[in-house]
Amino acid sequence: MDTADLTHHTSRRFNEDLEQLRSKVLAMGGLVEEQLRRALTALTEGDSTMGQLVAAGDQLVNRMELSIDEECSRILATRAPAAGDLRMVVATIKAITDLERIGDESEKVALIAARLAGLERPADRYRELRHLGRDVQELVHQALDAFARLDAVQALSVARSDRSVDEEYDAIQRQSITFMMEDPRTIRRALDVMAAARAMERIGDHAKNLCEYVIYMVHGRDVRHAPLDGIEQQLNSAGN
Amino acid sequence: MQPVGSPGQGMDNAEELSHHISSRYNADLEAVRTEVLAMGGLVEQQLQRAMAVVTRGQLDEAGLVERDEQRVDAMERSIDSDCTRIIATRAPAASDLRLLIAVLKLITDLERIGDEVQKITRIGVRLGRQTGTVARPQQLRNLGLLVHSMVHDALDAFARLDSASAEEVMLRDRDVDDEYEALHRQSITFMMEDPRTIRRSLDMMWLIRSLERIGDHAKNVCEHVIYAARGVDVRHTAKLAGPGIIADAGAE
Repeated sequence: MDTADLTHHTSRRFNEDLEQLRSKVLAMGGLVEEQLRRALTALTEGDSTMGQLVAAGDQLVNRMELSIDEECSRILATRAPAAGDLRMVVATIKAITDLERIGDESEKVALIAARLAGLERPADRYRELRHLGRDVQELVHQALDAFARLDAVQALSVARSDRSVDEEYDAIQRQSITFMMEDPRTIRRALDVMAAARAMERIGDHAKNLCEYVIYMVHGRDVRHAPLDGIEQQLNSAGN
Repeated sequence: MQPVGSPGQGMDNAEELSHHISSRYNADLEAVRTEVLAMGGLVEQQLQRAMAVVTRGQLDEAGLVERDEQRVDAMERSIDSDCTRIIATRAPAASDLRLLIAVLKLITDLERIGDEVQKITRIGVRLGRQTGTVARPQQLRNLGLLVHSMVHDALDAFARLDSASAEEVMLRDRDVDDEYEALHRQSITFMMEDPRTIRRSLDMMWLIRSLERIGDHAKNVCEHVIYAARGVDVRHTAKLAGPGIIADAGAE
């Protein structure tokens, strides 16, 4: 009887399970990024057809969420993972909810884009929205990157840059309100712009949540609702 | 390691031990359920306070909402770590594991309801200071009551792990969506008719959107209850483009 081998075998299969889980999450993340990219393209190009494509893609995102969820439950039930592995599974269960919401918000942006495509476009082709979109896209990308590399330092810095997204969002809201008051004929369009900006701001929030789960995975510390400065100090003093 | 189940008195000890362990285990699970219900109760209370600010101009309630927001967050973290600890130390089987996973997910929804409540409160305070009262409070009150009943009954379904009532609560989300759309269209009409009301109408739009979102979260809670009770994942089964999308900017 070679129990050592058996353990080795079991843990190797277990590692494969976890590895597979990770790549599934990253695949889902990749698709969500693509969805966001399509939605933003639709907005900048004034493309009314992209909405359909994004809607179809969202179905796939949803299916991936369910499948990863199932996989997590199976791993928890059959492998009884400990400490770090358990944190990874729990963080995954939470992270995919945020990924799925990013998908939902991207779909909203694509639908709004389709509507805006039918209206007269402002001369700046929604410059502020494009900037916000680009920044949010970058946030999501970096958050997923931090997730892939289990990089808590990067996760923290991404979580911080969510602040500038919030500022851009506020600026767009204020500007839209001004436009509406100056020229009530632009009310519908301004409302659409505000809704698109809001969806983007939410995507930024979800990217921030992803980062918090990365920090939880790496350090076992739940940093939600905590001020970021304190966390940085703690992580630094922990020698990370 | 010696096998525990050797003949003689060891058997009794083992049985006693396993009984002891399992009753502690049950107590752990029960504690999590109680914590979730306490968190849910607090979130419900917060929602009622926010609506008192908005529909009755009771600005002092806003201070209470702010005071308890941190408690909601702390409860979420504590339940989270309890669930993780139980999964790690007790290796729960099938239905218990489902319950714990459902809890991990639904407390996120409860916490987000708390976030929306804060937004509602902030807007309520702003509106209250401006005008002393909100226009059309009756309709808002209706939407608020509808949403509150969803949150309440979703938590009730959780307490009893009752998937039939969870399904019933989910259906009410359509009523919320209808109310939302009606109020949303009305706000746009007001804005266009009288641009001086733009700011106030926008506040109204944010308010009803937050309420609509709370309805969505209550619906999510129900989905998690159904999963815990029956092991069926009902998410995304009838995914429609909700009013959040269609009416967000009031196109047409």
